[in-house]
Amino acid sequence: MTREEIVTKLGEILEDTLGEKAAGFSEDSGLMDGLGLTSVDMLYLIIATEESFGIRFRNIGIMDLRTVGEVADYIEEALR
Amino acid sequence: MRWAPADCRPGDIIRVKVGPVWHYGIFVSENEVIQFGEPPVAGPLSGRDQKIIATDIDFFSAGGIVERGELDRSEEKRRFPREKTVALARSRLGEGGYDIIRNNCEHFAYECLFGEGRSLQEEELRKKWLARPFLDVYVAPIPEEPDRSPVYPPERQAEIDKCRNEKVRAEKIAVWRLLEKGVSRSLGLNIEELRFKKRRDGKWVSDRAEFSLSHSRGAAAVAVSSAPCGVDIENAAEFRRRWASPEKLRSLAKRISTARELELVDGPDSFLSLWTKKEAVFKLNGGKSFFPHKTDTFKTVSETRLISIPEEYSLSVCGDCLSRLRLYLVTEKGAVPLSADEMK
Repeated sequence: MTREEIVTKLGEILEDTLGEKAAGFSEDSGLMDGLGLTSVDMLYLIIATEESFGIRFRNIGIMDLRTVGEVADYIEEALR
Repeated sequence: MRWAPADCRPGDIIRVKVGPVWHYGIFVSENEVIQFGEPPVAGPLSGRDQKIIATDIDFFSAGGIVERGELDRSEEKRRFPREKTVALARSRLGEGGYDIIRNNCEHFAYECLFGEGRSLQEEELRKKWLARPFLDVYVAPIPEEPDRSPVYPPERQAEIDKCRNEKVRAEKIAVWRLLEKGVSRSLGLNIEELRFKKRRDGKWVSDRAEFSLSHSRGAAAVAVSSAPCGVDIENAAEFRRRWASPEKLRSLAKRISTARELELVDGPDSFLSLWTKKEAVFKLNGGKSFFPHKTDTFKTVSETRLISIPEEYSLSVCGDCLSRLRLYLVTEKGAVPLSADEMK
């Protein structure tokens, strides 16, 4: 899966979580400070990402991932 | 300074116990003791127009045993010469402005001795007040237009400035403004009297108060306590709308719960109650990363309330002083206790 595909899929999850507020996100977008995800949203994002990409977030706290790019990095690494 | 009954010399600081309090004065002679207000034989002085007066020693003592302040070496070095103490005391005869807390007979006597007022009685009471166990939680809706003047300390302002989401930035400002009010109301301190530090785990701490912050979709909550504490607030109304699907909720609950906790989740409200408890407990215990399934809410006592302000929020609080919990809604009119109608 290419980086672009990962980010596109992540975008769908963000849209599902946030609705219109997710529009115009980029890899630099902060999840909580930038897109305004709450802690519950972060939990959902993690579960949805695990289900969509077939990976598990191990040893990583709910609010440890700060940006969209960091989530994409984690997915890329997990899929390798 | 030690106190003992002894022969007095001009310029001595003396005191006498009157009921539960000490009355202080400057000894000049048996016929001249200068003091702020009369000995409080008929109760506290605050209600009466007290002035600095000179009386004889019998009037000053009000029948009690007069003690003389014996200064230690460093105090002897710091004190004014005796003649100056007497002259200072005399020069202030007739002065008013008595204040039982900030300008009483003890302040006056110390001023004549050292040049600066001090009241050990006041300091003792202040220490007692600050050491009392308390846990005050302040809740407020996020204002449409938050006060954008810089917050103290500058490091917090820098953190706010970095936040790109306008709504989250407004929440960050609002929660800090709420902390300012909480510190003022619970501790009687201006926020600038505190020193703040952001710990490595991202938690803000201060040298003079334990506190915890939370903000989420339209509301802010701040806990201020004499002991470590944790608070979390989440928008319940929005959560119910967005997480109506039992399957979705189940998958969230499974992910965060221990087996015992899972049994308690039967809908959005009970889920949110569990979630806010977990976040509050995590904030209380501290740590870099939040692993909800490892944060067992059965191991830490917490309180959860559903409050309407007017939208409904789930609020959880925990801390060593939980038995002293008091909840306030902060509006433009000030802090009012959250009434039963606002809590469910």
